[in-house]
Amino acid sequence: MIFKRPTLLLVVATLLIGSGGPARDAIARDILTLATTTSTDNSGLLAHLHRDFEKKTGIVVKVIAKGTGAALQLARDGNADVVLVHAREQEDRFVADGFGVARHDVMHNDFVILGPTSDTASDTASDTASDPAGIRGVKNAAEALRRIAAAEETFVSRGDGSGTHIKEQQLWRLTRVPLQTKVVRIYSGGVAKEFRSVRPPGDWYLSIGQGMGKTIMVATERRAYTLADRGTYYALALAKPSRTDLTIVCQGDPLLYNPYGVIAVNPARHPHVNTKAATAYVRWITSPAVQAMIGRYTVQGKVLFHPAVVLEEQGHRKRSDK
Amino acid sequence: MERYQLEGIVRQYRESGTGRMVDALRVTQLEVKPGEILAVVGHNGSGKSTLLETMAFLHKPDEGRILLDGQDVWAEGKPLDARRRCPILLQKTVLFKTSVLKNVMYGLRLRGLRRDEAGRRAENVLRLVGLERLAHRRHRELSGGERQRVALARALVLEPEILLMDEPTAHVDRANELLIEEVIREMHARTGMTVVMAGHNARQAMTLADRIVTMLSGRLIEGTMDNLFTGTLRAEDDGFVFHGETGLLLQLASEAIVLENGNALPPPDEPVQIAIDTDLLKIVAAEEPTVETLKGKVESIRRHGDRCRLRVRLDEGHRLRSEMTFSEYQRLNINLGITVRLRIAEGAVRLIGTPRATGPES
Amino acid sequence: MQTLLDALRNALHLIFTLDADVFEYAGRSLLIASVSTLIAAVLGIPLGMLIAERTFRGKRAVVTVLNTALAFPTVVVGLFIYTLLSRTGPLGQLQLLFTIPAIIIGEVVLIVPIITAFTMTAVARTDRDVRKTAIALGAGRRQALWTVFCESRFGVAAAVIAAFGRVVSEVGVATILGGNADRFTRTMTTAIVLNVDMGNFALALALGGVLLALSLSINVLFQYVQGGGPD
Repeated sequence: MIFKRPTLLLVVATLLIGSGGPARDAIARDILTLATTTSTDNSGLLAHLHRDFEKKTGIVVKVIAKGTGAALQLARDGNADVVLVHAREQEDRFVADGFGVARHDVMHNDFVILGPTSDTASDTASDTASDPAGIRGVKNAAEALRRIAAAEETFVSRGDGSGTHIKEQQLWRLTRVPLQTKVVRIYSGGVAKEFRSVRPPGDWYLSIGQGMGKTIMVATERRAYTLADRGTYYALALAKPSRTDLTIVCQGDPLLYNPYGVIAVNPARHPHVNTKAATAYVRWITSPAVQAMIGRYTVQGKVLFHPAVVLEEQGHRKRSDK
Repeated sequence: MERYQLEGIVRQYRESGTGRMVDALRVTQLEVKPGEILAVVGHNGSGKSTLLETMAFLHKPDEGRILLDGQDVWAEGKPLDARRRCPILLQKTVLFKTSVLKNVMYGLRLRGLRRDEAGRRAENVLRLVGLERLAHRRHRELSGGERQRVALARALVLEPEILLMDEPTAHVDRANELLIEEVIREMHARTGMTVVMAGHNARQAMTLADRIVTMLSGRLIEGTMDNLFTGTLRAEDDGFVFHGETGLLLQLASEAIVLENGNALPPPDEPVQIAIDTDLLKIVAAEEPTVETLKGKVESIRRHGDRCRLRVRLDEGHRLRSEMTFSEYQRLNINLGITVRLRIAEGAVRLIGTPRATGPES
Repeated sequence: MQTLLDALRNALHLIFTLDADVFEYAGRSLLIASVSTLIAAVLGIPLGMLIAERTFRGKRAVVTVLNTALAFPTVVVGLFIYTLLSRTGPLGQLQLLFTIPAIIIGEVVLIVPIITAFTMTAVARTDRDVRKTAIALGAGRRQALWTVFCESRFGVAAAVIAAFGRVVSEVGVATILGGNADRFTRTMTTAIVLNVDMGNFALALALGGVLLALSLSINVLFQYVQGGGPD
C-alpha cells in the first residue's frame, strides 16, 4: 500500500490549499487566461517565455491551447483575456467586430509541407515510399499540393478551423484542383452563421480535426503529406528519440509565411476580463527583451520563431512593418 | 398484564390480473389473554403470516382496530410504542451482517441502551439459548438452527410483553426445534409473557399452546381444523348433502352445520369449504348404522397426554381425523385396523365460505 | 515492444524520482476525484435510497432515465456544463470555466447517476426483509433506514469506488471544462492525451502506468478501510 490513511488526507489537504487547487484559482493569485494555438503551446516556447513574465509581474498565465478558430471563439465568448494566434484575416475581423482592442505583431515562423522521404540512399526498398508525389525541390506551395492531388497521395489535414487549416485552404484554392465546399450552419445568439470550408474530393485527403502534433503523428503513421508549422515539426522531429521521420519537402514560398499576433480582449465587450494583466502581457511580449528571447529560443539548435522586431547584431533595432 | 384484542380486522390486497380486492385477512374477533400461549395453525397461504404481522403492527389493517390494554393502537397513532412491546420473529429470518452479539444487542440499542448494558443483557440471553460461545461469530458462520436461536435471542432480550413468532421452527432440525421450544417454555414460565405462535406443526401447537386457533383462507376458527373439504352444499328434506370435489359424499343433519361469522348459506352451485371439528366427529361402535354415519378403518392412533388423535380412512378413500379423551378411547376398545363408524355431531361442520374468499362483504 | 519496455522504465523512473510534474498531475487527479466523489456520494446515496425505498408514480421512468444516464458520453456532459459556465452562459458570472471547480462540477454530474443507481440496486436488494426485521425489532422510520443503509454498505461502497474510478480515468469532461491548462487543470488523463498527440508515447504510457498504480492503491485502500468485505 502506498498511502496510509493520514498520509492520504494530508496529501488531499495540501492539494486543496496548496498548489493547483481551486483555492489558488479563486483567490490571491492574479491570473491571465491566454487562448492560443496548439502550434505555439506544443513548441514549448510559451512555457519558456512565461517564466519571465510571471517573475516580472507576478501574474500567472493560464494557457488554453486550441486551434486559432476555437481560440478566437473562446475570446469572443469572454472566456479568455488575451489571444495569441496566427490567422491574419480572422484576427483583423475579430478586432473590427469590437472583440479585441488592437492587434500587435509578435513573431512569425513559416509553414512547411512535410512528406515521406528516405534519407538513406542505400535503402532501396523504401525508395517507392520516398516522396511519391515528387515535390521535393518545388518552391511553389500550391504547385506542390497540386502534384499531391494529381498523384492522389495521402494528405492529412488538420480540418479544425485552425490557422494552419485556414492557410491550407488558401493554398488549395490556388491549385485549381476542383474543390468541394462544405457549409456548416450554426445558430449563434439566434442568428444563423455559415462556416465554409473547402477540400479536394477524394479518399486520399484525410481531414482529422486534431491539433498540430497529432496531425503530424497521423501523417507519419500513414506515410502521408501534410502542412505543418515549422515550430511544431521541429519539436517532434528533433526530439530524442525522434517522433517523426517525415521531412520538409517544400518551404520558402512567401505564401507560407506565418505571422502571429497578440490581441487583448476588449473590456468594453467583456467588462470582467483581466484587462490590466492583458495589457501588461501585450506590452511585455512585444518588448525588445522578450522579442530577443523569442529569437534565441531553439530546440536542438534550431530557431523556431522569428521575432517581429528585427534585432540587429550591433544592438540597433527597428520595428518590422506592421 | 396487558390484554390484546382484534376487532373486525380486514386486510385486503389487489389481485394481479383481475384487479379485484381480495381478502387476505378477515378476523371478526380475537382476544389473547395475558400470559396465554396461543397457537395459530393452518396451511401455507392461509393467512397466518398476515395475521401475525398485523398483530405485530407491521402493517395497518384496512378495517377494524387492535386494542392493547384497551387502547386502539392505530387510532392513537402509536404503532412504534406498540411494536416495541410486541416484537415478532418473522417467518424469514434475517440476521444483520455483523456479529451474533451485535445482532442480539440491536433492539436494545434502538431503545437507547448504552453499549455495555446492552452487551451484558445480550450475553445473558445468548446463554439462555446456548449460544454464549458463538457471541463473536459473524452472522454467516452459523448453521440454520443457530441462526434461528439468534433470532429468538434477539427478540427475547427485549423482554417482550407479547412475543409473536411466525413458524419459529420451520427450517430447523429436530434438536434445535426442541431446544427452541424449551427456551420458550422456560421464558414463559419465568416472565409470564404472552406468546402467539404460528405454525403448521400440530405437535408443537398441542404441546406448547394453551389454546389453538385455525386459520382458513384468512378467517379464524377456534380449535384445530384438520378435516377440510371443498365442494357444494345442497339443502334436502331434513338436512343437507355435501358433495365434495374429490368425491366425498356427506349426509348432514341441519343442526350439524354452524355458520361462521354470520355467513348466509351459499347458493347450491357455489363451491364452499367446510371444516369438521375433530372433537365433534364422534366415533361410535360399528354396529350402529344410521343415515348420518360414515364407515372406515382406523389408520393411525396418536396419544398426547390424556387425549387421543385418530385417523380414519373411509371406504371410498378419504381420511378424517377424530379426537377423543383417552378414557373414551379405552372404553370403545379401538385398535389399529378395526372398522369404526363416525357420526357428525351437532355443530361439527363449519362453513368457511368459498375457498377463494372474495370481498368486500358487508 | 521496445516502446513498452521504454514506457515501463520511464514510469518507474518518474515514480521513484518523485517527478514534480507527475506528482502534480496525480495530485490534481486525486483531488478532483476525491472531491467530486464526496459531493456525488452526499447527493447520490440518499437519492438512491429514496428511490429504492419509495414507491411512486413514474418510478420506472426515473429508473430508466438513471440507467441511461449511466452511459452519458463524458464529452456531452462536458459540453453541456461548458455552455452553462461559459461567459455567455447563464452561470458565466461565476468565472469557473477552465478551473478545477468546473471539472468537479462536470464529474459530479457524470457520477451522481452512477452512485444513485448502484445505491438503489444495493438497497433494493437488501431492503424488504432487512427493513421488516428492523421494524419488527422496534426500529423507528429513521432507524430502519439507517439499518438498511448499513446492511447495504458493501454495495454502496462499490458504487463509490466505481464513481471514483470513473473520474480518475475520465478525459472528456476534464479536457472540455479544464482546458488542459498546465499548472492549473492538467490532470493525469489530459496529460496522457497531450503526450499522445505530441507523439510522446513513452511518456504517455508511463503516465498511464502511474495512473493504473494510483487506481490500484486507492482500491486497496478502500478494501483496507472497509475491513471485511462482502459476504
